[in-house]
Amino acid sequence: MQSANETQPRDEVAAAIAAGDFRRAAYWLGRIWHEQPSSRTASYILSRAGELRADLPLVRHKVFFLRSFTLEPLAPLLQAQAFVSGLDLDVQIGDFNAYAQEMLDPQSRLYRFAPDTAVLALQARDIVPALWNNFAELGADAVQSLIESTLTDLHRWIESFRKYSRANLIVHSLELPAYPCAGILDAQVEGQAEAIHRLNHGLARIAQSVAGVSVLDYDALVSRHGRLNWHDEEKWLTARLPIRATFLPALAAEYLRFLLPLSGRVAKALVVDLDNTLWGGVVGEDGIDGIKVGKELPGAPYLALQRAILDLYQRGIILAVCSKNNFAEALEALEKHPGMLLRPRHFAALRINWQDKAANLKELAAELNIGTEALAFLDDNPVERDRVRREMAEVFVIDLPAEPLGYARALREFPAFERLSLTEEDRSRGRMYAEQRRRVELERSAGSVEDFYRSLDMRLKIEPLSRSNAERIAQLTQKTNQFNLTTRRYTEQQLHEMANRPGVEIYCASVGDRLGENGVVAAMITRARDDAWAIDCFLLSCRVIGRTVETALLAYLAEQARHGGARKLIAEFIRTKKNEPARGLLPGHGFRLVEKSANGAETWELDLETQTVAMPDYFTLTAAPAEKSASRAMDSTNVVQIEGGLS
Amino acid sequence: MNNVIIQKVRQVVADMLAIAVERVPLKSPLADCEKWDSLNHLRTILALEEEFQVHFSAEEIEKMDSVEALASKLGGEGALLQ
Repeated sequence: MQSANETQPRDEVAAAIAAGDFRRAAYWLGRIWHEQPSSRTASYILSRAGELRADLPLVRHKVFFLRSFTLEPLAPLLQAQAFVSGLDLDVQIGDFNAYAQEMLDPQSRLYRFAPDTAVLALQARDIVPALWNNFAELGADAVQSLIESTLTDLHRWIESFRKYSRANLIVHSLELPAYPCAGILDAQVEGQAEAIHRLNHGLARIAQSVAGVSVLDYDALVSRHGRLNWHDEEKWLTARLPIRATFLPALAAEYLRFLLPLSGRVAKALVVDLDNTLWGGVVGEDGIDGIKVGKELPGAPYLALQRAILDLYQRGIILAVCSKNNFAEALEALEKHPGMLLRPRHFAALRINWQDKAANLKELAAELNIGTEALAFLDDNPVERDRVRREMAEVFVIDLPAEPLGYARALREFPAFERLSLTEEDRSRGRMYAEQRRRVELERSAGSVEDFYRSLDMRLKIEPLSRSNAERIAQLTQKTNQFNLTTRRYTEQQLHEMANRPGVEIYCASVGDRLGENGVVAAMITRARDDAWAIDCFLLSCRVIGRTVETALLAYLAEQARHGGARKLIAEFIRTKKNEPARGLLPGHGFRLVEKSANGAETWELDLETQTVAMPDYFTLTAAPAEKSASRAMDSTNVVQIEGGLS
Repeated sequence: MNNVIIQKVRQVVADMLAIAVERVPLKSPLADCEKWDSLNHLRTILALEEEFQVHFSAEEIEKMDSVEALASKLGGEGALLQ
């Protein structure tokens, strides 16, 4: 027998599955999870997820755990939590305490599984037991040599992993003891805590030096929840599980903060409500002097939330408003209220009206030129949140607690805003979106579209892959869905490997105009084979779509190919649910369809002997020399041909 | 014994094993249950600790081999019920 409030949602799930309405089933499963995120709920959700998996637009991701302690009970929790966030996780857990062999042996289960991400979950008590148990007996030299040898081992394992796998690696930091062996003396000398801190610093440096490795600050996670509460000595001694049952969901949530950005399932924009969300009270009723936001209660929780939102803006999250207010009143509050941290200039788009919020969200996504699945919605009203969840399953909806003091924490815990790296482009995205709004205004006032292009004074700079742009190029391949011919995703590591192969060229392009810089907004990868150049990747950030940048880039590639001795430029178009904007590119520039495979991938060709792509004259072009291609293009014996992309 | 606790324990076990509630025996050892193994035993104990906000000792876990034994232990603890 279940309690009534438990039975009803489960009945809804069963009914929806029976009716074949998988989206509705997923909605109810999400609701069940958010009401009680526990091991038991996870187990129930996974028992149903199997029937839905194939019919939902989930992002698949494979995770392998390398570990020195029991993690098995965590896997279902992680999978269920991922499932309700749109991620279909395939999880494998390595053998107990076999992490070193698994990383060193290229034939190990780890590499056979071919994960997208691996997690290295270790404890100081397992990998340096002497430091954990016998610290008091050790002299300074012994401590130093233990730290060095441990870091050397870790470095060797991690390098080996990098050699045999392209997967991301997440490394736990080492947990500190709750009671250092020297008591309060530990903090007065170079004690046990200090020794483990030094190990963690060394680990962080290793992670920074090897591509695709990041640190999960496990010690910070444990201390956030309270070391004494987190640890379960009984389970540790009986089942080698050092974590109390109540905290397993928190650890799963921490993993998800990494897995969402690593799998590309992220929110790019945060859409916020105003009344009782950004400030306390209703501006239409209480007036600008009556609403609460500031350093003291009752305005403090709203200021804390605004601080958290501003932190996201600095991380490159686009901000937008969606609220039911009178436009002028709401804008005046944003502009003039003295306690406000967020101002109109922080927002890239505003929907302040009395329309339905789901409709507003669709409009906002269109205006910002991003998919609705990249929106996150923040609203104090549970009815609005539920309405958006039902109507737009793909939107990230952030649950807020009833008490405003918990708002900022809820936002800071929300995993879809996490990023594992931040480029210059990311940092200035908010400003760039504001400039874009002015471009749109200019376009409206310009006479013809050519006048508009000319009025922009556009600059186009094309550069080959380098240390300084590799991160951004990888990020573009990971995140660009719309104007993308092949939607192939590459990591920084893969890009460097590809660039070393003969005949392969990797370029990126940045665009600027008189209103500002857009930064690196396009990436292209070509490979020379026989008498042709093939385009492996051609993508353009939605920020610059509709300004003939794509024509300029194709013209450049055609010219490079011709220069390199090619007679044909070959391009693929692999259709996805989202890349409709790229469909017209090839036929629109004289390419001819030569092949269509059973899975829908199209091959197009441009005959360089009879055709050309004209470079639009709106651009001032700066291009780095590509002497490499000229010398290598004809050397077909060295050309690497790989089906289905270069990865 | 508290019937509500028994039913709740039974439901948790059913969820953790992904089997129907009716297939979870009340008195006979859970070890006889389909899908029961050491990992599922651990997972079930963890789920009960989480659900009832209690903490079992290793010794208790040894003894609690049936739904009734689990429920009587939880009833004695004055476990939280939602």
